[in-house]
Amino acid sequence: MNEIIKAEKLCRSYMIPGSENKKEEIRVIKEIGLTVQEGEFVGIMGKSGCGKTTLIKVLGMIDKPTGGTVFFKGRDTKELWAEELADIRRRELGFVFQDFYLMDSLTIRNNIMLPMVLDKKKAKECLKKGEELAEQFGITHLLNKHPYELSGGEKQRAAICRALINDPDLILADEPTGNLDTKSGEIVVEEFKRVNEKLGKTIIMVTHDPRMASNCKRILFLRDGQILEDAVRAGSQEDFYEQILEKMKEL
Amino acid sequence: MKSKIRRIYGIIMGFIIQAVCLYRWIPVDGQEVCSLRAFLWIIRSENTRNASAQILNKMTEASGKTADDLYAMMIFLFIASLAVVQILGLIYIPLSFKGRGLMLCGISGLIFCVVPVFFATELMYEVDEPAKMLGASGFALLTVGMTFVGCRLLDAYDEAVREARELKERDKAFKKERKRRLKFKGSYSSLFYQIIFANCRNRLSDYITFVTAGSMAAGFIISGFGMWTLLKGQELNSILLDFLVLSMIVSIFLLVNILLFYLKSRMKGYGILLNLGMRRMTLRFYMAVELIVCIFLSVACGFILGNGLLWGLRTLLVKKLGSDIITGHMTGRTWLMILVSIGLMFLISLIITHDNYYNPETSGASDRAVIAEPLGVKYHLLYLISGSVFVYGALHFFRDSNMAEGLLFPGFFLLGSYLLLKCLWGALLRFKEKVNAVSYKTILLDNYKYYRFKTTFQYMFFLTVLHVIILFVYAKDIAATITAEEPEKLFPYDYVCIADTDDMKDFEVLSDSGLTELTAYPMVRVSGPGLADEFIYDMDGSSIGQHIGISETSYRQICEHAGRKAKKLDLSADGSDIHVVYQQDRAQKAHALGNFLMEENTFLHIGSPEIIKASNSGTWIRSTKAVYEERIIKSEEAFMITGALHQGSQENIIVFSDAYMQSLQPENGTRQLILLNLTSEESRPAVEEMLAAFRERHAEEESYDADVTACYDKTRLVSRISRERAMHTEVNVFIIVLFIITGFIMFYMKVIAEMDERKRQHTFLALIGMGPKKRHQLIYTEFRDFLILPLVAATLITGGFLRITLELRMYTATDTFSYAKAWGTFYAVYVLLQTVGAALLTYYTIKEVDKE
Repeated sequence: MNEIIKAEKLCRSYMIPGSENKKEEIRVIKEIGLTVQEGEFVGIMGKSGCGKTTLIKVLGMIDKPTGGTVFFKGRDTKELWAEELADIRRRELGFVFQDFYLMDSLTIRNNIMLPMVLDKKKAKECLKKGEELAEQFGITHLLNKHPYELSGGEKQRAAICRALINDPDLILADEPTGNLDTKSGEIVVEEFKRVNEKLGKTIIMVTHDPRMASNCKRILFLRDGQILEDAVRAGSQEDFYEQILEKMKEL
Repeated sequence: MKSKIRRIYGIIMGFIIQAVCLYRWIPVDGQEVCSLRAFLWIIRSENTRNASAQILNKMTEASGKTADDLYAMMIFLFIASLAVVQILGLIYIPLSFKGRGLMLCGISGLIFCVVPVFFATELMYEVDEPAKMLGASGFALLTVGMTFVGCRLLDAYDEAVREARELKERDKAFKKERKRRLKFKGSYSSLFYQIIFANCRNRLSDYITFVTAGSMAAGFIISGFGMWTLLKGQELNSILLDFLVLSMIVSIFLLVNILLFYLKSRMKGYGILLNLGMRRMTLRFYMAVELIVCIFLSVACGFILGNGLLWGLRTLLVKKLGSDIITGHMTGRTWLMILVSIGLMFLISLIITHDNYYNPETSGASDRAVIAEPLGVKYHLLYLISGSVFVYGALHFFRDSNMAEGLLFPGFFLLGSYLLLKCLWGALLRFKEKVNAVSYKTILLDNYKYYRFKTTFQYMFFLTVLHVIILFVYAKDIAATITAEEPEKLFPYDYVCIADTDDMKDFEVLSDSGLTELTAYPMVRVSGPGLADEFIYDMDGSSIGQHIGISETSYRQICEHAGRKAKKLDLSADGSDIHVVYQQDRAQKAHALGNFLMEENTFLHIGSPEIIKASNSGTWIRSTKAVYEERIIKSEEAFMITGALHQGSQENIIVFSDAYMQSLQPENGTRQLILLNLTSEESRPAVEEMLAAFRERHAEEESYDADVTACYDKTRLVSRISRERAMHTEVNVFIIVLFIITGFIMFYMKVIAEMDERKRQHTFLALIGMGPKKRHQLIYTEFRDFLILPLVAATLITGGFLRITLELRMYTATDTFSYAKAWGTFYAVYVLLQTVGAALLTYYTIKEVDKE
């Protein structure tokens, strides 16, 4: 298996708004090192404020690290230009956010097709792929609606469709079930499992929910901006769930 | 490898050095040889000292001097160093084939060349032909120097060419690399444009708000420039110029706010597009197209609006005052100026907001929109000191009648107030925040002030400035015009003439024949420093004027005739003290005789203005002070004792002591101030006929200033004043309406810009159990603050400036009372309008929030 993403001594700090003093910097991620292989389904867990979302943003090249390096498919992202990063985000990465991040001004169809349209693909191709994905995720009947007309679970499925439309190598999901009820959350995680197992896509998912996390093959536990433990599922999902619960208690 | 040119140059120069060194001028054994041969001859001889002395003796043969040891040594060293130069030059030639040897030859050559020059300057006084010696060493130095400098320059040129070539190659390689790495073939499908269009359509209200504000701003400029052009040459022009400046400032503020609002509303969408991989260049292009279309639409709508306003105002003025009121035309140049101004206005606004759109970061764009603004200011002391200086300075200078009523000092005052208020208000809020008992009580009511301190303060201050502009700059003049005396009452006489002794006969004939009632007083023409040239005039525009000088006795008599109690004067006999009667009505801004270049006292000259030409301001001031005498204004009043002939700008009455007037009479001839009243209307034609001839005789007097004539006619002046007042009122009302609309638009924009945030906040408050009444109270309190705080601040500022203005205009208590009544009525209507506007916006906001 090939490495899809690798981080070395990754750091991310933020300045407190309005302050210019370096001492008032908040260090959110502290020298993290990790490697994710193709086809993995990795979960990131930890208490609120431990740096999960920041980590996934930096790995997804949405945010720039303040130290260390992220290698994407062996390429040092520091060496890449902004437009190249945009190309990677568009073609090789798929994002799913907790608050869906759909454009209210566009229909679900247009939202799903957006990354493909931005990639200058032909209109026919975009429409076809959009409809195929909508069918796979059971939202064909919602294609002409606007995001504000949909439930949370439906919105998230639309967001997953959008993340998959350009057939990316890596899907990054930031608490995709955070705004959903249990049932919708389960549906979404089932979809992720299917995407990972059937389509062979690599997924990195941030979650709070141990039950959802137990679907992953590997969990990175974060504390104070550092990886506390890298747990790999060895036995059944139920055993892994128990293991996660134990770890969460520790955290 | 050195370049070919460099090598060729080196070789040529090497040969030139040899040619110079081979010049035969040193006498050796009865013949003249070159330095190398001379050097070889010396060292081959048995005694070097004798050989050198022999050469030197030959050189000094004519003068009969003989060489001593020192000079013999000098000539030896001189010849030796020249020989070394030649040898090094020889070595240099083959080296220069390969472009080398520069350091060796150049530096050594230079050192050895300096040596012969040194010896040559020592020996030149000894030898018979110093020119040969100096020439040989000088030329050697020159050629070696040229070789060295030339080769260095060529080397540097080679280096520069190489670097440029490398840079070009690097650039080419970079471009190639960029092309390879950023290859993004193909074109966007129709879906891309459909999506962009759908996104824009969804934001139609944002565009409408943008275009409305933009067209308002453009409309201001067009109508302002238009009126300024159409009424060119009229007194009203200065008001319109002020309006143009103010409208530019207000428009820029309006545009900056609308751009910020516009960008804020689109930031989330831009962030999504970037997250999904839209290229920055594409996004920037998309943003630029949106902005350009909006600006274009704004200008187009502004063109319609501005022309509509212009047409309306023009029609109104022509209908009321006749078509001759329009003195200018809209030309291509005017339109060019308008376009440049509008372009400039948008450009400045875009520059101010530049930071907000160059990089809507992929992450944190939505976070940035919700980050709390810093409370208060960073450099308290700086704000406090500079604010106080501006406020104090502005008030101090505004009190000076020579500078009063301009916009500059109220502008500085507002700038100072901005700095002071921002600092103090920020400090107050910080203090309240610290005292929990105070801040918790009003935590929700005051939340917007803490959270959006900068925006809140800016909006409030802008509204304050708008109120001040309306209530002080424009309403002040409307109230003054309403309360001013009727134009007919400004002229106690039908005619006022300034006559010579020779003219008196004609006036007496008129009086004797019963056509007029005549009173005459001895007078002198008094003038202030006149304009020497335009440059000086620009520097000291306040001091021009011709006035009427009379004696204390005449003043008392005229006052008695006008039914006014004369002031008790005690003026000095030398004419250094004066009493001034400003002949201007209450609608006029305060005038002053003019104290040129900040001098405390005024300078007046007896007689017609003396034109003082000067090449610079210093000479002009000195020459002017020599002609114009310094006078102390001992007392002053504002009243029309002979008539508001020039509304205070000229023809004011200057009262001198009787003794001083007496002393002036013989020298300047007797001039008479003639005050005429018609006995009946029938006598007018005959009087007019006589005065026409009188005017013709005094045409020369008008050459100084076309406005200052020898004879003033009440009928004409009354008509002019009525017309001016009507025009002023029309234009002031027009401007006020425009600014009121701007104020409402600003308020509305603020409401719209914050609507989403407000809705979210109220949804949250409703969810945590706050009832609608309490929530409405929050909106009501915030809107009330935005209504009341700027109005209170503006009222205080306006009140202060109005007080100074009325004092400067010398209003009496009765005048002040009637003025206060008129201004107060306007103020009440204005406050009512503002209240209604705020109430409507409050109602609208509550309705929108409740919908959620």
